[in-house]
Amino acid sequence: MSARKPRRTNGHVFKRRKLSHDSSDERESSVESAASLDNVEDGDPSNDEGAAVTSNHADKTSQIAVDLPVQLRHSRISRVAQGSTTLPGDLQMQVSNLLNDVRLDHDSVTKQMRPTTNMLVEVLKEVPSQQPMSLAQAQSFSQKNLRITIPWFQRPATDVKYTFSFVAPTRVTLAGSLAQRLSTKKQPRKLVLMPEMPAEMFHEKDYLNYRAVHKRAFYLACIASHIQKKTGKEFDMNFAYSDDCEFVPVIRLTENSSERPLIFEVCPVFPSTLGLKEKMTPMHNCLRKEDLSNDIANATPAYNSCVRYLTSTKPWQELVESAITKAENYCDACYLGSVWLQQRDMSGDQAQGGFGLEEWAVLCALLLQSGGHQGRPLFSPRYSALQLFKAMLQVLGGRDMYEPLLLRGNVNLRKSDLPIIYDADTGVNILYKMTPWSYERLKHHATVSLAAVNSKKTNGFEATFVTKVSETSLEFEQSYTIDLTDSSQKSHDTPQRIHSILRKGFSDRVRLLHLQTDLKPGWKITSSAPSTSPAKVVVGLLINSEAALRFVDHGPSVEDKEAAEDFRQFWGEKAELRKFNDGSINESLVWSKDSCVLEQIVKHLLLRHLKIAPTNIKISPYVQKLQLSDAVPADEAFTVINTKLQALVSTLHHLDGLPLPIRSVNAASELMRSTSLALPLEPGFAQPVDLVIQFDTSGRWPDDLRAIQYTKIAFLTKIGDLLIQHDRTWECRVGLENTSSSSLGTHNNCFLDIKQPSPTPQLPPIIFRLRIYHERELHLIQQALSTKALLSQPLRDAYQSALQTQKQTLARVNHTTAIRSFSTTFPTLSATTRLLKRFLSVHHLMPHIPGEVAEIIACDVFLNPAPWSTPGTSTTAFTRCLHFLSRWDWSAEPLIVDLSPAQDMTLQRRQELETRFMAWRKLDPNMNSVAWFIGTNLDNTGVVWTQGLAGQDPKLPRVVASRLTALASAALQLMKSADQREDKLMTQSDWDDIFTSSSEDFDFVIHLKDSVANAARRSQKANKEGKFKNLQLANMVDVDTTGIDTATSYLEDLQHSFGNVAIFFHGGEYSGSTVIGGLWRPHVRPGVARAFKIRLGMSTVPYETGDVQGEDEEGICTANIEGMLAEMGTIGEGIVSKITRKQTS
Amino acid sequence: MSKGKVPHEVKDYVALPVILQSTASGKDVKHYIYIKASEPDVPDQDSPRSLFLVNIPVTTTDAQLRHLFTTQLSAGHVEHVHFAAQDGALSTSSSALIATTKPTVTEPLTTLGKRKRPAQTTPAEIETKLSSYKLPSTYPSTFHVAGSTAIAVFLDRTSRDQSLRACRKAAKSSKSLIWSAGLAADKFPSLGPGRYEAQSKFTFPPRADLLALANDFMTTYSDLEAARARESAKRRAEPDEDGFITVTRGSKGVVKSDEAEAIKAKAKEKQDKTGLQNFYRWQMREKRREEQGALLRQFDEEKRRVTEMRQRRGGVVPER
Repeated sequence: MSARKPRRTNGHVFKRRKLSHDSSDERESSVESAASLDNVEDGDPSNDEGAAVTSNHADKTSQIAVDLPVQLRHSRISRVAQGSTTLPGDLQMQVSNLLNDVRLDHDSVTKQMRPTTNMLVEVLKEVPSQQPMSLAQAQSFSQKNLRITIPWFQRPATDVKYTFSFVAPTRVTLAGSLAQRLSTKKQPRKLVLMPEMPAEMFHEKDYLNYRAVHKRAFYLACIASHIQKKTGKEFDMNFAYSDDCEFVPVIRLTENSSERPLIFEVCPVFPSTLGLKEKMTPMHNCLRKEDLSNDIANATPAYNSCVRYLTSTKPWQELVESAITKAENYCDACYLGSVWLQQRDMSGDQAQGGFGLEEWAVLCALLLQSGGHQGRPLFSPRYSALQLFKAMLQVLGGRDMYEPLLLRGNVNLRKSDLPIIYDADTGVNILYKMTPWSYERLKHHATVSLAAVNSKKTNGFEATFVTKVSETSLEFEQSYTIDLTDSSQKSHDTPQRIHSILRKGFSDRVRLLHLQTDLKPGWKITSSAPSTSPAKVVVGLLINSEAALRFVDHGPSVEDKEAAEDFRQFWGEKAELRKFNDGSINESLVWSKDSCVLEQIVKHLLLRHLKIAPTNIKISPYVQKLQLSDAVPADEAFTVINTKLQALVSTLHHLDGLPLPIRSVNAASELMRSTSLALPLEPGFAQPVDLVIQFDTSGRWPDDLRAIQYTKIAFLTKIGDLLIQHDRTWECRVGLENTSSSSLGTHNNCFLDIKQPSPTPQLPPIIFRLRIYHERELHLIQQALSTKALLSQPLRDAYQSALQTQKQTLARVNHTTAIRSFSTTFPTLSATTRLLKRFLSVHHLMPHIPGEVAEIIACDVFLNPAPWSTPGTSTTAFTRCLHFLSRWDWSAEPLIVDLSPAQDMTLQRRQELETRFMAWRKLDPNMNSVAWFIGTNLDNTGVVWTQGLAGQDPKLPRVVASRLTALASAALQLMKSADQREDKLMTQSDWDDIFTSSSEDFDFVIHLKDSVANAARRSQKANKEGKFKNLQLANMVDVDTTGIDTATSYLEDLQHSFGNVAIFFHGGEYSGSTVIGGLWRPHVRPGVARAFKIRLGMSTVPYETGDVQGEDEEGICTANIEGMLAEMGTIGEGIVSKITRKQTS
Repeated sequence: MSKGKVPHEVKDYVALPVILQSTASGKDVKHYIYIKASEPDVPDQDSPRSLFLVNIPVTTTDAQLRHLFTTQLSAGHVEHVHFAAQDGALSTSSSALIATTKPTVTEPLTTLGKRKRPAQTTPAEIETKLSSYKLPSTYPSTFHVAGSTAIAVFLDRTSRDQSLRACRKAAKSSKSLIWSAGLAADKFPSLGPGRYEAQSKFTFPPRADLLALANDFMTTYSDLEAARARESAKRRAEPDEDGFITVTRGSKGVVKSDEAEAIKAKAKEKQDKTGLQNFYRWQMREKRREEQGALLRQFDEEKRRVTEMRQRRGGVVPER
């Protein structure tokens, strides 16, 4: 049947050729597939989902390809002719660069391997023949004469009738990706020698019940013994499983000599005459026991395909060779596939998924021949490498292979619980080594990567080909290690059982369930094969964050007896009958709120069904719980202040008697973005919530900056009075800030604090801090800067910094709106940002990294999750933030994030931002004023948050940026090493390490008294001792609620006096951190002598002249390190407990 | 500190060591104040009786300096102290800066701006009055930048010279002075918790004071506006020597310059929109050429970027 297929295609071609003489053969045969090429190019995964594959049903012949992509590859002209600006153009270029880098020089490798290969082939041909012998004879022969233990899989029963023999192979073929010239540089140098067992050794029914496999095992033993005789010490010889597949033991020879060892595998294959492929489809049972008939329920798809595979190695090779000659980019597409698979730790080995380069190559070659409409090719040989790659991803990700994909023919296969791509020509299911979980993972990654390479906005190259994707803590959101060593029910199908039980138990809580087992090790040829049952299984989950934390599961209704019985059977005593609000009586599950529901499910089900004790299940800890010790539930606290804000805003809008109507009241505070490290309502903290109020435009505002500031005071006082009238429990007072600028009026001078009593008496009150924003100010500042050309430098700086502050105020309002909308879209965003801020805080970087920047980075992880999918837990999202930070080369790349809810930032905006970034780097190559460039749709300058105020340090100096990169890399390194450990889990102490900072790197450390950390406690103490009584009398309001954090105020004083001399590091406002670290700036290094000047900007000591007596004419001095530290202590007299200096050796 | 000998003078400054006692570091640390007679580029009447101090401790107050010269060195009597302008200070005149260093909070706010409403004054006069308005500082005292300078003005020249001699002597003597030793406790600048408690108080001045200040300012400001309006009305009405009438703000029919710009831009936009587009063949040709040019540029740009990235990383290497 399948043989007819090509002929039909030929006929078709022939007919076509008659019609048009001018076109070539190749062009003809791929007209249809060119239609699907459009899909690949368009790359919108949603609307052409599976179009290439399902074209069986759709008639695509009407579509004609427009252009020849081959001619269009990476030439200048081509881009113009293509006229496409949509695709980020450098992807094509980056791919061709990558190909140049990974392409292996096969000729030299082959040359290097040739002598050994030839020798081994000779050896294989010389193995002495053995007469047929019975099982007992064969065993004693191999023990005594060969001195080798036969590598049985499922030792044959003692009464088997068939015989074992050795006849010289009919031929020896070289196989493996290296032989087919498809290997890349990174792949292990492995060459497979395939001696073909002669047909006369087999009977007709030897494909059944492992008979052929057993004969092969003896055959292998004979070869092993001979190789051992003929070769010396140059090889390490072992038995191993080919592709980790336990039916197929091979001899693995590892060269001892070279540093990069060459590996040779001897894998005897069956003659093509063995068995009938029609009887070995994935629906047949070929391992029959006496009592079992050949039915589908007992089908043995893996065994069948494995035997079929061993009988059809030659057709596979021919298939690949024909693809290489037919499609010129086929090899490149395979290289791309190889890199892609490797970054995801997928290979042909069963434990690593069972889909590797070989399967990729075969599938790609097959789809160049078949798979399209009416059996025509799905891929055109004229596809570029990238197009072939994308088309492959589309097939793998877009098509559900549980519905078998039939290639080169038609066989009646039903939907099953195993993925099937069935080649009717050879009768092999290409995915025979795959498990449901590894297929799930492959499909997931294919979908994610296809979206990334097709993205019109971001360049998906890094995510697709460069990033190492398979790190347990980055890839999976929750992982468990199940120790099976002392499990009584251990067998080689335990993983399958765990998978099916957990899959059923998790239902919709989990998006992806992956199991990882270890590679089966090789063994000595003189001993028997070790047990193939795994010692441990690592379970990795992608969580559906909405469903994962559901505490009550509704099961089937009582009336549905059968389903209810099933449910009870599955869940055991956990299932209970409940009556729900809607009146239905259902079976249900109620989980405890104390620990994670997923954990409870895993432990319960594995104990119930597999008798795996909960102590044998190790669980990765949630960082969130470890690191954010919230006294009140975070989401509740944020909800409370959000409702309070809503109420306040509506009150403000309805106030009578305001001089001007209110246009808007906006939040501009991290508390309102639900991202603050310290929670609102947490005892001890009363961080004010910043609000910005804008009035309708009016001509009644004065046209002078100073006058505007005073008008604001009057306005705020009025609002305060009205609010108190509205609600007597509120306290309102006008506060001052930036008073040093009041003679110019450049900066905002006043705010109104509205203190509302807390909902419950034990909690602190809520303070809203209202500031007026008036557009005219910005205009006046700009005018001052543009007209007063002769401003003195301090004055100009003052105006500049005022301008930046104004812009920041505006940006903060927009930013708050954007982040608020995202935190409803992504429920875990809040916790993620808080974790990231916690990380920055413990490493004392907080004062230098604005909270807004941390929020943008966290958003980026959610919005551009490639090469993973959108994170479902804060832990994973946080690790990916670290991953981003460790890899971001900020000196050469801007970070551009689209914060619009619809994600509709134009490509042009992105390009503008990039241009701006380039301009910054050209202007300031040393990155003195801007290190991080973060452009968003809200900020087209890209530096609103990261550029320092004029006349001051950059907000985010280069040294801080580098330190953060280093810290993130170190944290990631720690995760990587955890991933390489036995259990692959991050432990609690690992996480603690990540969140522990060492103060070793600082030049000096100022330790504050503990009482400073907690403002409330401090003021309570003050009250008790009766200090500052006058202050308390003067002020009716408690000191602890003024929103002034002593540590931060002290830090500001230090910055003011010693900002030119040192950089200070601290855990940030309201963090309760009691350590301030400091680094001397380069010119203040101890012991560096410099000429005396009036404005050195530091405290100095006259240079000790040593042996020269009298005064030094030059007037040299050095920094007075001790003196300055003492002065720092003096400023903080009473709050500083001690200052330590770094011990210099 | 070390075996080397610290010189008593650096350039023409006397290096006067004082000992800072800090509880945080637990030991006494020497701090050097460099002192010389004041020789400003533009001498004023005070300069002959002033000393120029470099590298004063950051928390220095004038009480401390008075104490240093009068009591500790038993020399001349300091009349007043000018602290140097700080980086980023906002005022241009040095006299204004001195005012900022004074703790303004001690005096009641109302007195600051209490003025009788002047009758007919010129805008310039009101302007100077306006600039004297200042919001009370939220800090009890201002700290100096490290290595900052000050000018101490003595009663007379002899008193200055006497002080300088005393300094020189003290610098040479083996016994160092202890900074602010014996100064009355209430003369110390408020530091640490006290400072921050005070700060939280000063942030919220009493409502009445604040409102009075704001009202006062606004009254003066409206005087200013009225005066300005009068003046410009006058100017509008009277031609100048050349016989021209000055166009001033407030004249009828005059638009603000920024509005004018906007109108101009709008008009240009409108003009661009009109006219036949994509009609003639040359228009099409030109448009196409432009597009192709843009594509080529884009391509070159991308190519350059990729090569740059390659150089930076030394090739595209998939991570391990």
